Amino acid sequence: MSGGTPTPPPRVRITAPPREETAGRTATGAIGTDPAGLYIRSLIRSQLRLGIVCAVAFVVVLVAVPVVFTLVPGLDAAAVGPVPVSWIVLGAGLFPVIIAVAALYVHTASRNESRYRSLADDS
Amino acid sequence: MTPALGYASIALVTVATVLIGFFGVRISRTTSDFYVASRTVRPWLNASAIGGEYLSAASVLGIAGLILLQGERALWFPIGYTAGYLMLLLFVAAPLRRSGAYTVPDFTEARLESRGVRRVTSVLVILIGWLYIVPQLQGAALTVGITTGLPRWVGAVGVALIVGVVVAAGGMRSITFVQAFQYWLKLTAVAAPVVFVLLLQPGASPDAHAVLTEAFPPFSLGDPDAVFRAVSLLVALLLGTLGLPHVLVRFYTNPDGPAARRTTLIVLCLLSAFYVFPIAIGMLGRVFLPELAEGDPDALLLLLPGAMLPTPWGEAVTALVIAGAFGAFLSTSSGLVVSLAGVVSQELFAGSVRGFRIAAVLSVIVPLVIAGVTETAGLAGSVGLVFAFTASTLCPALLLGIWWRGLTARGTVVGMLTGAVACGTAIVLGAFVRDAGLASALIEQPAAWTVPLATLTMVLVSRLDRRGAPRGADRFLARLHVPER
Repeated sequence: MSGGTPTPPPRVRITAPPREETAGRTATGAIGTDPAGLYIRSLIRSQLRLGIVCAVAFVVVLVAVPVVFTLVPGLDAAAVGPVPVSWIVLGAGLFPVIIAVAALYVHTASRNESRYRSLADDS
Repeated sequence: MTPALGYASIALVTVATVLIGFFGVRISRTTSDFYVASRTVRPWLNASAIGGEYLSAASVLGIAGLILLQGERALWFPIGYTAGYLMLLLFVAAPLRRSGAYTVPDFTEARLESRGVRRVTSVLVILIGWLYIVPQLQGAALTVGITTGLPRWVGAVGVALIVGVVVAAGGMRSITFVQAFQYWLKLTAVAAPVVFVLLLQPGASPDAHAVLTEAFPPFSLGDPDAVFRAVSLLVALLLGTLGLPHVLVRFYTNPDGPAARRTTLIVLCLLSAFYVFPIAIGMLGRVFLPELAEGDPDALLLLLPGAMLPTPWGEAVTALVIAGAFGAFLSTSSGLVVSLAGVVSQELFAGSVRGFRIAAVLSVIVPLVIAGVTETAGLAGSVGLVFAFTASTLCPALLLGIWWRGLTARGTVVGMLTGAVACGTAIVLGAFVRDAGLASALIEQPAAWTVPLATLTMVLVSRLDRRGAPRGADRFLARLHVPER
């Protein structure tokens, strides 16, 4: 993969990555009540809300599976080919749900960020 | 099983791992190369590497074994292992990447502006890493013992040796290539037995539906013990992934926050594709080889192809499976050792390259000793307990650190220690308590109460802390959440 490079970069002594000084250097690190601070707060809040909504949606589907199988006892006898339905639902059915929730989240989180960006650029 | 086959597969996968590892050394030159592969790893390569690192002995051998033993109930394990990455995506992936920290202790120190928090986090990370390497070494011992007939300790010592040398020599860049290779190897190894059994259809098939429904009573919400165990296990698996040091260190290798999200999405697809196969192997095992449940259920994957496939195919697939399983121990252990060595060398050796090497060696010796003196009680189960411990300690610190500005250093330390003591005590007691019932379920699956306990403690102590939130909290939170240009 590195076949094209004639000379390797010089060897460098390994040291710890630089640690950032964060403690008490400036008088205040607080985000004020100015528009910029408000936009950041609302971005954080909307991303958190989005995460919680997605997590709750997944947990509801997850909990619904045993609930449905308890409420409808006949389902246990059902089968697709030689495999019981409950095995198919738990063993394969929940993975597409996880991926769907994840894809929805990635899309919406990026939209939240671009909305923040356009607000921050306007002000 | 012919020992020659075992030797050949193990030798082959080891040589491949070492070669890719050392090939990587040649392009690993600078400090950040060494620690986080310069943060320029592409999402697909990075996702494969995360998959390769994450799919441990518990996933490759343990899940099939547990399904053979417990049936449907064991299906919560693969679901939880995968959904843990969903939680990671929702709450941690992009902000953690933007934090710019290299390790979990780096993150807590920068966020809470306290050396004390850093030290406590470091100790927890090291403890979790050690606990997680132990089942990998035990899985290696099992595999080597069954496939070659050598004494079991040879497998554990062999894996420890290979991992120590590769990590000490190459650092993380070479590990990224090794891990990515391992994911695809593992996927092939678990898929091949299923595909070949379904294609060749050896022997007369018993009525699978009857076998499965007779062997395992249906999951019922009327059984409080079973419900508590399932809930607690899911809490541990969903939240435990958030704090796993070898998983988190991978997120620093993404170029930016959105890339971290894309990588996680790909990881979810890779994991979903993988887990279908151990589940299918567990089912095939229950239908065709139920007698294995009495002996070493974790060996199901290793023994199934030889027992079910006609001669040339059986041996070929067995060789592949051995390679995949051995690859699992190598890749997960090396990922853990990289992240542990990073933390240990920063704490004790000021982050020098020599320190990293010494730390890498230290990081394999301790788990090797623990693996030598303890007995495994099912690979999936022991890894599940590590998840419970992580979920009760590092997970609340990360979640609150990323989303709540009011978190203080004191609250974090008290909360993490409370979770560690509560969950640690439960795990140790659980090794001695061996009867069913709700009381023992509380001890054997502690996450459902230890995670809320640790989180509440963290919040309460932070609220009561008169020193208040760190001065840079708002600025740090802004850095975590504001998108890059």
